[in-house]
Amino acid sequence: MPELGAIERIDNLRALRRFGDAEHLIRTALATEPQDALLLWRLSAVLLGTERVAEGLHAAKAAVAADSQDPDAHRLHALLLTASNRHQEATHAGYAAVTLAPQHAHTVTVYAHVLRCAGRYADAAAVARRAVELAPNDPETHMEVGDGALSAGDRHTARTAYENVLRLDPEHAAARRNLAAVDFMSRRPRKALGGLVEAGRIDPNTPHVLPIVAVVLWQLSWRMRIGLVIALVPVLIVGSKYGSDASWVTRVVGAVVLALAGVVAWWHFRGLPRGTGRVIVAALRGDGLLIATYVFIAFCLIVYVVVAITGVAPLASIIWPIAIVLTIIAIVSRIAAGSAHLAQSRRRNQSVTSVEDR
Amino acid sequence: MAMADDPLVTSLLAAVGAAPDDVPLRLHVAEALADAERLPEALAHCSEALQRAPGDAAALALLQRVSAALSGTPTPADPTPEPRAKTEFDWSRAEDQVADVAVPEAVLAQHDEASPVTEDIERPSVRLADVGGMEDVKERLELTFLGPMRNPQLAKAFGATMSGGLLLYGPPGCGKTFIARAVAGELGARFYPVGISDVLDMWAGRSERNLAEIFAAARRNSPCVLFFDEIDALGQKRSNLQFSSSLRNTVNQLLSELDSLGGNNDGIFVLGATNHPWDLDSALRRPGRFDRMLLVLPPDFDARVAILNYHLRDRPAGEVDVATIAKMTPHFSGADLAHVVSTAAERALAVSMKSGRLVPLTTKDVEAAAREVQPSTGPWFATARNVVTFANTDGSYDDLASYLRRNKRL
Repeated sequence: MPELGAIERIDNLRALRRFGDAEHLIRTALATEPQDALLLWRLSAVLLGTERVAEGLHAAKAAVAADSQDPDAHRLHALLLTASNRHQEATHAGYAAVTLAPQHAHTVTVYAHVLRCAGRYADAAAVARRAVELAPNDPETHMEVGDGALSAGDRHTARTAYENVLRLDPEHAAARRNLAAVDFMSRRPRKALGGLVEAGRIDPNTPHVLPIVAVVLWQLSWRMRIGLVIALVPVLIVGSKYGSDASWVTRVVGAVVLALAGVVAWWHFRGLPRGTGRVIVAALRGDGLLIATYVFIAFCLIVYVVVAITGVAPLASIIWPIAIVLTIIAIVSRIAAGSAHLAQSRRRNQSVTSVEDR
Repeated sequence: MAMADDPLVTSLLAAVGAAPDDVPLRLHVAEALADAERLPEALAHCSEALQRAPGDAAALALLQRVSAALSGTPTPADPTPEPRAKTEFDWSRAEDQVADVAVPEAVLAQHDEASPVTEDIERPSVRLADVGGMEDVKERLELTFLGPMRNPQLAKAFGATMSGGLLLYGPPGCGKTFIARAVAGELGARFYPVGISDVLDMWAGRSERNLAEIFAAARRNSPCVLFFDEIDALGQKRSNLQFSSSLRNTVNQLLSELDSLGGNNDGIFVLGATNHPWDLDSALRRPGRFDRMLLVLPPDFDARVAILNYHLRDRPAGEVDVATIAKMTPHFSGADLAHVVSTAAERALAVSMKSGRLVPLTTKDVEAAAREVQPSTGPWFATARNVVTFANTDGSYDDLASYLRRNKRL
């Protein structure tokens, strides 16, 4: 059995995410004690951290074989099986782990995660709640409740769970990001945008922040499009009365439309954190269709400015074809997003790599 | 001495003929042939040996020696002494300056006990002039750190503080450690590199003590540049270390040691290097600690030329158009460039072994290798882009933002 000190050193290196150094230490120790379960499951954890799933699974199996009564070995085995999309076996391994350590909150949390990845949301939720009972002050148990609820579409529970995480650890970037995702789903784009910017600030390595910002901007663009088309109605009504002649009424209607657009924009962007503009620009740069959408929206606003200045209402009729183009863009974007969603669901299991490091 | 009919060589050749798969014997023959200046034959035997035992260190070393002899390049075993830049530092004056720095008794007492900390302190002879290219970095280093250190009165007049360390950050493999060594050379100070393994200890409380001993050793050896490599490992955000009290205590100890240097400039210049400054605990970036940051980017064109020439110097190279290769390799780190040259050398070696004669490296070989090797800085810049987008609220990363914009990465 390796010295406790050596194990602590390995764990410190894992905590620091110095996986290369940790792996070196473990392999050196394994050279003299190749059947040591403590070392083998730590090796599998390190390999999981570096996304070397096949190698990690091999090490986890060896750890289980070396000591079938070690819950940590079963836990890692379960996680690596999940990462390999072998959910049935993963749930068995996870069950073995919690049977051996039913009071260990981390093991229970991992089991909930494994069940969630296997699509057993109700079971996952019950296990995650048990983990919270075992460790109510551990943010990761609440995080798993939130993630499980989010997967099951229970936004209320997810929100409460993420708020609990942030109460316990205000600098938890993933919780901040996921809470923003809940805000987005609850059609609160301003709060979502603020949360995402905050998550990126807390930890710039937080994955998927910019893509979610882009999704929020799409949501906002729908609102803007609808607003622009609705605004067209009074302008064209006025236009039908005055024809192509300039009139003060048209000017006033145009100005009111612009003022309302300004108020709505202020309402949506008020109180956002510093640096939000930079984030929006970065998100726009990553999505060509989104850029096109906002360019067309900006063009429509310019048309309203021209109408407000000239008083010629029929000029606004150019917005109709633009609205049609914007709809086509939105449909294309939806189709593309559908493909991306498929890719993302394939990637979801890879998030397993971060569970052990929590 | 020509030994075409040397009986020893003849008998060895006969032995090799009898046992062609005996690699050590073949290498022995090759060595004897090389000593007898029968270099082409020696090369052929080296190639044979490598075919039978690819990667054999002794065979590779001998091949390098024979290749160098064939191309007329001096071998590593026969180094030409290089003129060294003279350090124009007045050591006696420096020692007078620090003579009154008292060493705390507690530190002396601690040092008397058995300590795992090895004082690997050197006096580097490299200067910033030895760093190829990277004029921007040198200029900023001069303005933000070396200038005030050299002109303390002037710095004081402008309210610039002398306390606090310098944090070098940038993609991996871009020469941060070399620059830190050059800073020590410029200051005429000793250089004390500290890695994570020098500090982190397996026993509770020992890591903190190691840190204290390292600072004590630096004080004893002042003037000294104390260089923490990969400081993000020692000074990680404490919020990330909730489950490791020993690591949290190590961060606290580091903060405390840095503060103890704050008020009086006692001849210790603390430098840190990290690839991930955004992972550092924010307390480490406060005034008096690592309050100055210097971005060390991948080598520029001139630096790439210098690095490529450096790595080609001991290899049998024909006419290699280094400038063309340097143009092909923007964003390559120094380590990537070394990898490019070694990849090209492996190809040339394979060709040499097949043909049985030395085929020197050509521009085409290196170009092909440069196309094959991907710059390792890519993932770093992906994260850096996020940092600039989300976390540059106080302008700490303006240099980085400007570089990313210039290179259309933002």
